[in-house]
Amino acid sequence: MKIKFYLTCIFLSVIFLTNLRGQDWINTAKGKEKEGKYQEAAILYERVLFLNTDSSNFVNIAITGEIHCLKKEKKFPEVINFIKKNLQLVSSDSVKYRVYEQWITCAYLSEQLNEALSIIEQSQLLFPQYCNKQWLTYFKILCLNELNDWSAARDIYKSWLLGYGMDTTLADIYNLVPTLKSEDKASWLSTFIPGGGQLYAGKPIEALTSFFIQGLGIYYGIKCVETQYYLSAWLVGAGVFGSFHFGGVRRSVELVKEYNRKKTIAFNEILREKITGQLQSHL
Amino acid sequence: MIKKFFFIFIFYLFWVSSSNGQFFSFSKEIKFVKYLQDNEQFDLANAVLNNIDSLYLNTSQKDSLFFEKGWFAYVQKRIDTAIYYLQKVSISDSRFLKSSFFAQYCNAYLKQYEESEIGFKKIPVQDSLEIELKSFELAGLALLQKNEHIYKDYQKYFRYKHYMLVNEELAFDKYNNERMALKFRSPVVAGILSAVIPGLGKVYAGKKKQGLGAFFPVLSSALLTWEAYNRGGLKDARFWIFGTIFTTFYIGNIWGSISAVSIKNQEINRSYENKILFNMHIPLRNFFN
Repeated sequence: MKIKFYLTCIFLSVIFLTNLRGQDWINTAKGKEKEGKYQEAAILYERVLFLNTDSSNFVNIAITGEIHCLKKEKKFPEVINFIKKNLQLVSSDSVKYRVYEQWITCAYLSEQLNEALSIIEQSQLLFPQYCNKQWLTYFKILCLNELNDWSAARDIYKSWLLGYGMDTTLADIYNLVPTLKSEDKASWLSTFIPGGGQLYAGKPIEALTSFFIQGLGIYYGIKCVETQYYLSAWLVGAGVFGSFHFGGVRRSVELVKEYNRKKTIAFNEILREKITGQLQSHL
Repeated sequence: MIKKFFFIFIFYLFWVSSSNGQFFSFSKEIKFVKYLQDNEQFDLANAVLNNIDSLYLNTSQKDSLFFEKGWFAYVQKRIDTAIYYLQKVSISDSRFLKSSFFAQYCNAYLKQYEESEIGFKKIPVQDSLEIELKSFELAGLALLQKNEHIYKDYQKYFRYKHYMLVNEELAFDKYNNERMALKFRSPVVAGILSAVIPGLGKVYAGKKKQGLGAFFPVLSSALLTWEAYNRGGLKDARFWIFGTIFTTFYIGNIWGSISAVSIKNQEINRSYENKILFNMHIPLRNFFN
């Protein structure tokens, strides 16, 4: 009877101490986080998970804590990986939803936009009682913007504004969608007008240089033919013209791509600022 | 008596838990590192391994720590670190043979052939399979150093029977025979060929497209020079301009052919080195798995 009593005491002590240890680690990890020592904090959180404690509270804290540490170190793909591996350990739905929010944020920040959109849909389905629809819609709009799907983003933005009784004309910002230039058009222009594609892409100096060099090639070729330097006419005159002509066609396509990229980034930047501002003012 | 034991045990539990971080025993710490590695938290695993202070560990624990550090570095392809730690595992440890073989393989990988050879020779082997494995690795080293004579010495230990070694032993014999039969191309011949027909030296080096690429500019500049000379004679500025261009291309083409042969020979050597290293590695992984 006595032995049974002692063994029970030892068993309970071990359980108590195990929990105490988990609590210690969490407290220390939080302290390290405050000091900006995120790697050390992450190790302590991992220790809690490794211990496989029965306390779901500790596990939840450790998971959210480690996500925070990794995020602070800008290891966004690592956060996604960590979440995928440890999500099943999270017992509470409200915490799980918070983890999903981090997943969405990190997927967006690491430019995994389609994954972010998919997780947004999943969160709405899995956690209807916890999900912050405003926040999710905000991220959905941002992702669609980055994917250049502006018409879908505008529709969602409009309905989002309507849902919160806000002025829907705010969505008119999407009327300023930049007109992107055509790569085919640039290519055709450069084919028939030397430097035309570069001019279309908004690079007049490059266009002029290309036009001048190609003209020089033709001029030299003609002069050589006139003086009966036929080989020079072909190899130098036609050679210079040909290489700059075909090079110019390829260059104009690249310039248009660059132009479109810059315009898109600039427009998405404006959208992000405006929409974030409106969300913040509404909150 | 039981009461005494009980109080001592409870006291011990509280004492141990009060010293934060020290509660984890060394073996648990190693398990924790493996857990982190399994979860692809390599930075954290590395930090934990580096935080373990070997000063307070016994010999066996030190060996474990060195092995784990070395093996982790090996997996992460930090070869220098791997060699350093794997070589520190003492002979009394059960993983001594594995760490020694892999450390010497890493030396061979880094082309530190002399160190690798000395290291392999020092490994104490006992049974016939270990002897064969050691000879196989030394034979691989001899192949890497292109020393057929030494290769033949170690080849004597090949039994061509054991499933872990038979394919690799046959492969080594094949590489040795191929290498002996291989005639490396001569940079001098390449240079002469390119001097006669521009680009031919590169074709000889096995780079046909580069040969064509070298031929046309030389031909074009030669034609332009000839035309300028034909029309305007030596006084024509075009003759001197195109002549200079032609000379530059012509000499460049000869120089390029010589380099192409050297590069090609290096490529062949590198390809054999990679194959040999790969074949040296396979039995090690199988034997020590």
